[in-house]
Amino acid sequence: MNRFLNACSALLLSGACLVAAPALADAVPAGVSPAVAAKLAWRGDAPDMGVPEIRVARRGGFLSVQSDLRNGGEKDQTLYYRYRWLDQSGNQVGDGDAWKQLNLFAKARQTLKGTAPHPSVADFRLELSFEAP
Amino acid sequence: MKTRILLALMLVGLLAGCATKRSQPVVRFDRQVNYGDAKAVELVTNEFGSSDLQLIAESMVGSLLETEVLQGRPTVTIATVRNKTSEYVDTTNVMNSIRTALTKSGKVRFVANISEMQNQVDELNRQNQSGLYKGNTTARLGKMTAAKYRFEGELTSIVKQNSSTKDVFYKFTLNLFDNEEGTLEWADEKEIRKVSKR
Repeated sequence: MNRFLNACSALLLSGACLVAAPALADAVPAGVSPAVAAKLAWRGDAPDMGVPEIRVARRGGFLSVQSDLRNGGEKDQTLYYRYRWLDQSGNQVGDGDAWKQLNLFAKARQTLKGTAPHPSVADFRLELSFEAP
Repeated sequence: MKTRILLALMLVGLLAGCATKRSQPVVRFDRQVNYGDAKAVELVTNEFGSSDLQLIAESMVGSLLETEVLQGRPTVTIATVRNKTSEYVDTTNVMNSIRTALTKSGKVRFVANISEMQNQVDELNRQNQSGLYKGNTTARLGKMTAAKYRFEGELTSIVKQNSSTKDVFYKFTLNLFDNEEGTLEWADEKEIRKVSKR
């Protein structure tokens, strides 16, 4: 009996700990390629959304990013996005862009443009936060 | 008895595991005031707000950083930024954000604009005419750098409203003129639509 109670208490406490430590970002939908997924910080449940392509170029010495966002679902999707700019060491450059709201129609595609604020920017993350339908 | 004690301990342990509310280093009576995210999307009303200012500044700065016109860190000044909307909008604030971001990027050098010129002249006069400073440390007269380019901007709006919907369309236009030649060297616009329903 004591062994059973001890096992129960350990199980309950470990369960409570799992609830208290949520993940920092949600999983990117399976359709997104690993190379693109590495540049995304996904927040929310949006299985119909996808990022088919991200294009990166240097214009005038500054990193310029264009990310294609696709809504493959039958409902409009409201989302918020911003770029986070990183230097070669992975440190954040600047305060970060402002969040922007976007309403993407069903079966529609939109390009999210961003320009790095400083020539030292070498990498980026596209943060996407999806509103519940 | 032993079983009861063990059950009570389990309950206490479970509650401790679930407890997430912790005290914070702040003095207040309750949660009436909070600091928010300055970069969050502001949707309180459809009047010109902080998100509009940030959207315009980011869009203009992004376009300016990518242009080939501003090569070799040229000198730039801000002339006029007109507010042609029906609202009170501090357009100087918009240009301040653009100027700060461009200065931090190292792309251009800003010189004192008309509203800042009096302070510049006062400081030069103080250093050169007060007799308080060593001669070799004073900023010399006639050495200021003139602006190669100047920014001129304009904010306009179109408002349409019926019994249930209000549609506000903002357009911010920024022009870059070459001061010597008088030519328009770069221009861009940012359009913002805000719709509110009752």
